[in-house]
Amino acid sequence: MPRATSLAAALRGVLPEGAVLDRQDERRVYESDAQTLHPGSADVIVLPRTTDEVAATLRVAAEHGAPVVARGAGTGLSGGAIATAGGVLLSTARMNRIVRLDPAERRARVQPGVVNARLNEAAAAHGLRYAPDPSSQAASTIGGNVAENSGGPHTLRLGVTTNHVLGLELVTSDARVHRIDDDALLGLVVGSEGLFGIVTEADVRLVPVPESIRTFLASFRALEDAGLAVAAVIATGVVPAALELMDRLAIEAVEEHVHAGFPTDAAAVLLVELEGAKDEVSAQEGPVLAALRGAGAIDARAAKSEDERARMWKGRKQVAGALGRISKGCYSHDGVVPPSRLAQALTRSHAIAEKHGLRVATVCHAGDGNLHPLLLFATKDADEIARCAAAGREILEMCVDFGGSLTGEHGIGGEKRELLGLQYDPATIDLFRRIRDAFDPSGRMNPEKVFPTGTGGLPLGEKTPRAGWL
Amino acid sequence: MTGAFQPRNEAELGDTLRGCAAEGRRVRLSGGGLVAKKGEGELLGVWMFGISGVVEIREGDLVATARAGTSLFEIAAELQERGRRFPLRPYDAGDRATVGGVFAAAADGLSGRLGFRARDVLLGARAVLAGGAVVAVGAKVVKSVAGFDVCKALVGSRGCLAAITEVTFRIEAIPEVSTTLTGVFDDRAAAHAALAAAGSIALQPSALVASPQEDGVRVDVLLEGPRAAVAEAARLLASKGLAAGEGDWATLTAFAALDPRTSLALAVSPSPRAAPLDALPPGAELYLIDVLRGRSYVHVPPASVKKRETPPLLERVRQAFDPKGTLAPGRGIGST
Repeated sequence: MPRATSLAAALRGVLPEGAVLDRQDERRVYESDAQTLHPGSADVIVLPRTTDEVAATLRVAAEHGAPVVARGAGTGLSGGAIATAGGVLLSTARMNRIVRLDPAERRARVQPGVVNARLNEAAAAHGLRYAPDPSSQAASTIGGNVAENSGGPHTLRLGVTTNHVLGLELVTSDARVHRIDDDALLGLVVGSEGLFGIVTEADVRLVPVPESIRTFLASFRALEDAGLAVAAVIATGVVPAALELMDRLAIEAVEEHVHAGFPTDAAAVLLVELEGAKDEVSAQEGPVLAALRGAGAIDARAAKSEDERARMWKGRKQVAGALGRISKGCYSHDGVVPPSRLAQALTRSHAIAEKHGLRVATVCHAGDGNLHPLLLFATKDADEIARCAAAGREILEMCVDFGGSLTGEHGIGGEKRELLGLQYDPATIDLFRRIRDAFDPSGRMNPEKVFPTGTGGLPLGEKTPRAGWL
Repeated sequence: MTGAFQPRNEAELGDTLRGCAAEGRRVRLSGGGLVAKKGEGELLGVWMFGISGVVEIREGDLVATARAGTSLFEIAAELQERGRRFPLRPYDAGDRATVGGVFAAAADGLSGRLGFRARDVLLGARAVLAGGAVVAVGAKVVKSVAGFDVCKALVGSRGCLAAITEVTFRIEAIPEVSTTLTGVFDDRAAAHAALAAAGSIALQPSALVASPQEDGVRVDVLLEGPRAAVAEAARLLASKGLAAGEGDWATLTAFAALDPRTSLALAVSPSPRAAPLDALPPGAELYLIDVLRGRSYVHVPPASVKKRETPPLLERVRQAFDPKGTLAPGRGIGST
C-alpha cells in the first residue's frame, strides 16, 4: 500500500469521522499560503478538535515516518505552512475554542485555531485586548501567530507575540504532551515556525484598552523625508502605539480602493498613533508633531473622529488588497533596519526595484524599522517573477548590511531558508539545529523550513497570487 | 591553571573554554561577583567582568550594545548623558552588577514599563559555548523573527547554557517625572482595593508592590511619565489611601533579587492579580508581591520549599548547548 494510502487509513482509525481528508480536490485548498507563490501538497489533511486527537495524529505520523506541517489560517507569507515534503498537514481550524477568559487576571487560555480578531472581540467586552495585531488578524489564528511570533502595527509600544504568551501546551513529534510555563522554553517555542511541535493551547496576556488614543496623518513631498521623520519621532523618546509608513504607489492604490483620505499628491504618508492616559497622550503630541514638521512634513493633522481614524486604519490595513487592483502579482517582502537608517533603506529598495525593472509599493511598520516592499509583477511572466526574487534578495541583503534582520514578522519559512546564513554564522545555525533536535530529533516537524537545504529557497511558481497580509 | 580566571576578551574566554573541554574540566561563570565563587579542584571559576565596555549606544533607535562584563553603573552613566536609561532596575544596591549578569540571572527587578522583564528587554547576544564556539543570536534591532529566539533561553540561564559575552538591549527615554506613592493598610480589603485601583489606572504604573509592615500591608506604586499624567494619577489614587512617599525601592528590589535556588528559605510563585494577599501561604510574615509581573516572593521555612524539577524539554535544550555538562555543574536551570 502506498504511504499516503496507509497513512490516511491509519489516521482514520484513530480520528473521528470527517477529520481526515485525502481526496485531491480536498487537499488542494491547503496547497498554498497567502503569498500563493510556493505550492506544495500534503498526502493527508487532518482536522483535529482536541489535544488528544493531535497526539493521536502525531503517533500515527511517527509510526509512518511521515512529515507533519501545522497550519492555522494559511495567512502566512513565507511558505511556512506548506507541506512541501508531503505527509500530514494538520489544520487547527477546528481547535477554535476560547477555553477561558479571566478579566480579573487579564489572561485567556485559547485553542490554537482561535482567530486573533475573535479573541480581541471577546476581550473587548471587558475593556481588554490582545496586543499583537498582525494585519491578517481578521483571519489569522493565535496558533499561527505563536508559530511566527507575529507582530503588527500596534506592537511598537506593546511588544510582539512572545511578550504576551504566558504558557503553552505543546505536542512534540513523539506524541508527548508538554505543559510549558518555563520562560526559556516559552521563548524558544514562540517563533519556532512549527519545527518544535504542535501548540494545542496558549495562555495569553490581555492588556487594558487605553483611555485615550490620538491618530495623526502626516504627509511628505519625498519618501526620504518620511523615513527621516520616523527616526526623528523615535529619537524623541516617545514610543507611539503605532508608526506606519506608506509610499506613493501604496497611497494611490488605497485611495482608489477604500478612500481613506490619504493625500494622493504626497510621496509618502505616516500614520502615527499615540495611546495611554489622557494627559500622557496630550504631553506626547507636542514633541511628536515637532519631530514630524522638523523632518519636512507638509501636513500633519489629527483624526477628528473615530470614524476618520477607522478609515485611516482601514486604508493602511488594506494596502495589499488594494494593490490587487493594479497588479495581479504582488510579492511581499519583510525586512528590518534600524529606524535611523530607514530613509536610506527606502531609497535603496526603490532603486533596487527600478534596477530590476519592477514597480514597488512600500508599507512599513516604520517605528520598528520593519519594511515591507511589495514587488509587483505579471503572474504569467516567468522572467519578471525571477527578477522579483533577485530584487527581493538584494533588499534583504541590504537589511542585514544595515544592521537589521532578514524578517521582522513573516518568518524564514521555506522562502528565506537559503538566506539564513546572511544573518547567522555556521556555529549559530548549528546551535539552532541542535535546539530543534532537542524538541524534535526526528526532524519530521515542518521539514524543509528555516534551515538551508542547499537546494535554493522554495521555487516561485506562476500561480495567480492573491494579495497578502502585511 | 588556577581555580579562577578572568578573561579580558571573547577570544581568551573561547580559548579557556576550549581548553577546559579538552581537559574535561568544568567551569562556573560569574558576572560582577555578586554570586562569584572561586573554583575548587577540577572546577574553574571564570569571572566575566574583564570582558567589559559599552560597544554602542544608538539612543535614536532606543537600542544599546555592551560587553557582558560592563557594570550597570557605567551603562547608566553613559545612557544618562544621552537622556536614556536602562529599562529595568534589577539591583538598586549593586554597583558591581554586570549587564551580562542581569540577563543571565533574569534579574527583573520590580520596575519596568508595561511590566516588561529582562526577557522582554534583551534583543541580541554574543556568547561562547562550552566547547569554545562563538555564536551570535537575535539582532540589533527591536524586531526580528529570523531563526529561533535563543536570547529568551539565555535570559535566566545562570551560566548553564553559554557564557554571554555581549548583549544588545532596549533602552528608553528618562521620564519627565518619577513619583512613588505609598500607603499602609491595616486590613486586607483596603490593601486589595488600593492595589486594584493602582493596577487599573490609565497611566500604567512602572511598579506595583505589596509588602508587610508592622501595622499592616504596605503598598508601593511607582508612577512615571509626563508631569501632568503622573499628577492626575496621583490625584486619583489619593482617595484609595496612597500618598506621595519616599519609597524604599532599594530594600524591596534587594529582596526580589534573591535567587530562590541559592536562598533556601525563599519561595517564588505565580501570584494572582486579583486579591493577591489571599494567595500567600498561611502565616507568611516576610513577603513581597510584584503585582505587575504576577509574582510573589515569600520567606518560608527551608523545609517547605519545594525543589523545582527541570522540565525534560529544558534539560534537552541544555544538552543542545552544552552536551558534556561543562558549564555551571549543579546550578539549577529554568524559571523560578
